[in-house]
Amino acid sequence: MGGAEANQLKGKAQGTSGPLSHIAMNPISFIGKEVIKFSFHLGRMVKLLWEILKAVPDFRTYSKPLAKQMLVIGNRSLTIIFFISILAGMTVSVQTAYNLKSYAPLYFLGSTMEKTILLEFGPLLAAFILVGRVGATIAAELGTMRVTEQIDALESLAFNPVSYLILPRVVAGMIMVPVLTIFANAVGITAGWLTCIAKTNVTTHQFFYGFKSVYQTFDLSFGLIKAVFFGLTITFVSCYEGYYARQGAEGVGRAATNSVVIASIIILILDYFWASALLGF
Amino acid sequence: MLRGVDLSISEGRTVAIIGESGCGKTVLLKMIIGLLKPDSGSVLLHGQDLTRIKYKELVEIRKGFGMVFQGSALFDSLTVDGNVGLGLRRHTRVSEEEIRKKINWCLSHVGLEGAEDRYPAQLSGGMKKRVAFARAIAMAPQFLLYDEPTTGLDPITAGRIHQLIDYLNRKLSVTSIIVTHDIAVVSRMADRMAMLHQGVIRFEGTPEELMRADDPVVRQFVVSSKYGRGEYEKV
Repeated sequence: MGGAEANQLKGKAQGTSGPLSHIAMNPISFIGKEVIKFSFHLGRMVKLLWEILKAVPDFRTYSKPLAKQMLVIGNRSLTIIFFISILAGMTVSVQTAYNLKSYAPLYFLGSTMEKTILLEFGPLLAAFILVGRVGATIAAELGTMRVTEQIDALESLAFNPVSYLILPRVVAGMIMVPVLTIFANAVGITAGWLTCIAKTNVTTHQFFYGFKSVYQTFDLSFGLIKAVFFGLTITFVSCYEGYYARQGAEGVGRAATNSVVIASIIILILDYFWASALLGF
Repeated sequence: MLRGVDLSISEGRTVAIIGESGCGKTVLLKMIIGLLKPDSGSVLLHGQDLTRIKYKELVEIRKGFGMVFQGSALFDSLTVDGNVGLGLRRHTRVSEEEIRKKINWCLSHVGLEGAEDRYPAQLSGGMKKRVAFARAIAMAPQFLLYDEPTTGLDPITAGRIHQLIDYLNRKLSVTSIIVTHDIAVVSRMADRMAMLHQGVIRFEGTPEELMRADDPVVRQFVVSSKYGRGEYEKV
């Protein structure tokens, strides 16, 4: 048995091999490296965001790709949002009926559905569907373009890749996520209403009486404000991950995975942030 | 990777950059067009340092360049027409009819008339390379950069590509920089040869001077290219 192999076995036997042992043996070095890595990515993200803002006047470059991206995001997600919103609306209505049973009047079903869907379920569902559906695709697309030198080729043709590739995707996300949120809201509430009619004693009149009695325009705009930021997060994070992808197919796969994970976490943080900031708690 | 490269290229000439794989030839080519920035030093074009100008100015300067990438780097989502006409549609204000004429002209030069509506996935390796050539010449550039233009192609297609480079250089009178391993072929079309070795220009001269070079590193590369790697000692 070679010396290196023997050392490796000895390390395993003593429980000192693998990444966890590395952290345990040198936590300060590990934390330092992670802080540097985080600062590097944060700095590069801020730089990219600045590049995007600078590219806004370059409308001639991004107008066509913007229209195409809006169509792609809408088309790619409409069916899945439709089905998931139906299921979510049905589930929310059944659970709300269960929670309110014998504690509140029946029209409360409509009130609760209005608040639950417009404030939370509509925007969050649309965002999470789009993270997986659109975010991963954007990261993989741009990542492939990066590793096959298509982005370099674009630059060699005197194009600014931020104007041509990133800005249209980010703007399309910020426009289309709210549009799809409105669609998810409408489908979810309709599904919830029909489920309530079918499964409980509530009437259409009672359901919409409850719905209208608590409805405020703010509820819809609150969801749409969140949706704009969710759209920005999904597209920006996936563009960032794809644009800076490295190391061939493995790098492209990593970019797609990272974009989904990071965007999902940021969406949940933003969800809490906007709830605290706008709902006054 | 590069440590003090000093290389001058005269206008209208064809220069071939040779060297081992991984010695930084592609990096040098990308620095010339501003896709990569050197840690120090400068890239001078008509006295203007490309490493110190604003991004907008660099973009303007790039309109005078055409580059053929090693893997062709065609845009997957665009047809041949879209690939070749992308720069024309964005940077010129001529009519769509004029653009189509120009695209046809470019494609006829590379022998691909009638392929306008095909996507890159429907093309062979040699055809992709030729579309990349058509895209590079579409904006009538003053400078053409070729990164390993025949790597991965069969000898017949590679021969056609070399003929094409030679033809384009003569026909369009551009300044060409060719990065390649293929000394035998490139020495017939290049005015100057430069060999990159361990981050510096080890040799610079005419193809005839390259063949007669005494430097053992240069000789080894030239002879190995001729007879196959490892044959130098026997020769």
